[in-house]
Amino acid sequence: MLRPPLAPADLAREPAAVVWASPSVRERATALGLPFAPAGTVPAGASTVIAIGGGAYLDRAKAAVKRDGVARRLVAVPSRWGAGAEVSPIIVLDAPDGSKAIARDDAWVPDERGSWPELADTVDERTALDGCADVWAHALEAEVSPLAGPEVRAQAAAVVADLRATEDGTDPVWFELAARACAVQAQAGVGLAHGIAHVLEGATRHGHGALIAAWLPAAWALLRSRRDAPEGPPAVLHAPAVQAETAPVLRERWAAVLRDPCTRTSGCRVRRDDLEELLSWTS
Amino acid sequence: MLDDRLKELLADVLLLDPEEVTEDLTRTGTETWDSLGVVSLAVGVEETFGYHMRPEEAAAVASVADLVALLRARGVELRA
Repeated sequence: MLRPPLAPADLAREPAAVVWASPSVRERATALGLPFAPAGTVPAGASTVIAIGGGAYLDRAKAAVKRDGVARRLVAVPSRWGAGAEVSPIIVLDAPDGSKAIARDDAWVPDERGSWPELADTVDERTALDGCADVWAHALEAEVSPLAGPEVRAQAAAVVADLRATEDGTDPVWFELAARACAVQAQAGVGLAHGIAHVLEGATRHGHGALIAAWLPAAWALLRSRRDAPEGPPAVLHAPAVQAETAPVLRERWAAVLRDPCTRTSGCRVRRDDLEELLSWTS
Repeated sequence: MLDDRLKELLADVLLLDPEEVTEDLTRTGTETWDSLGVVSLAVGVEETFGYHMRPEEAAAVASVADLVALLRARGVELRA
């Protein structure tokens, strides 16, 4: 069960705190009335970092504070939904070769999470929908994960039901849905859609959410052809242009996708010759 | 001779060429037969043969020969 998040008024009262904010939200973050510091640095006297940004920004903050110990405490405030980094024990960082370095430690979950719904204004509609697709992928892939026990499956199914009931992909309620979906998948695993995204992120100009939005529908259709599974996400989340643009790269990198740990713990067997079915899927 | 379906399944989940899959293949001798391979194999066995391997069964399979013996003992018909 997730603890309730801290509201901006609570954040502003954090003692001995310093703010790290991504450029897109820095101006808004001044409303907290707290001192700022360059990301990664903690001035003398500060023991708590309030990090405000997207998933990648929060993961870098988790690496600095929870993994490397530059401060005693981390409060993670997402400025966009999707990754759920604010509740996740997983850190995803860019490796020097452009690939993603993914590591996990239960000690890396931030000490607290914040909720600032107004930050949704800083995100354009397509980016918001890409985040929704990532939330759907976490919940769906967790529900069918071979690493999920009955209780986790039931939690995932409850999240999926709430996602299906939330039609507006720009509603800040998605912040909480993202946190719930990520907390569930952290107890299970993800699957092929994430395997594809992880490999293509290092090989294309597209971010994680966009690649999930591009390939989750095809990956989910493949899985549903093999086993019982809930219906996939609504069509509005699909990113067909990104799917078309990245299809040749998926063909080149298919062997790497098959080797990705997320693909290997997918809810269905992913076969070598599934590539053509994925590439031919259209919305 | 291994059942064709089993050979194809093992090739897929262990990321091997089908020619490399023999009854002599062992978990310790196969780099891709790691903890993820155990999970993938269990998923694949259920999909292909309809048999749900319990986690302790999947973890105890140390070779293709073990897997063949387990499936036959559980009533799965394998083509020789």
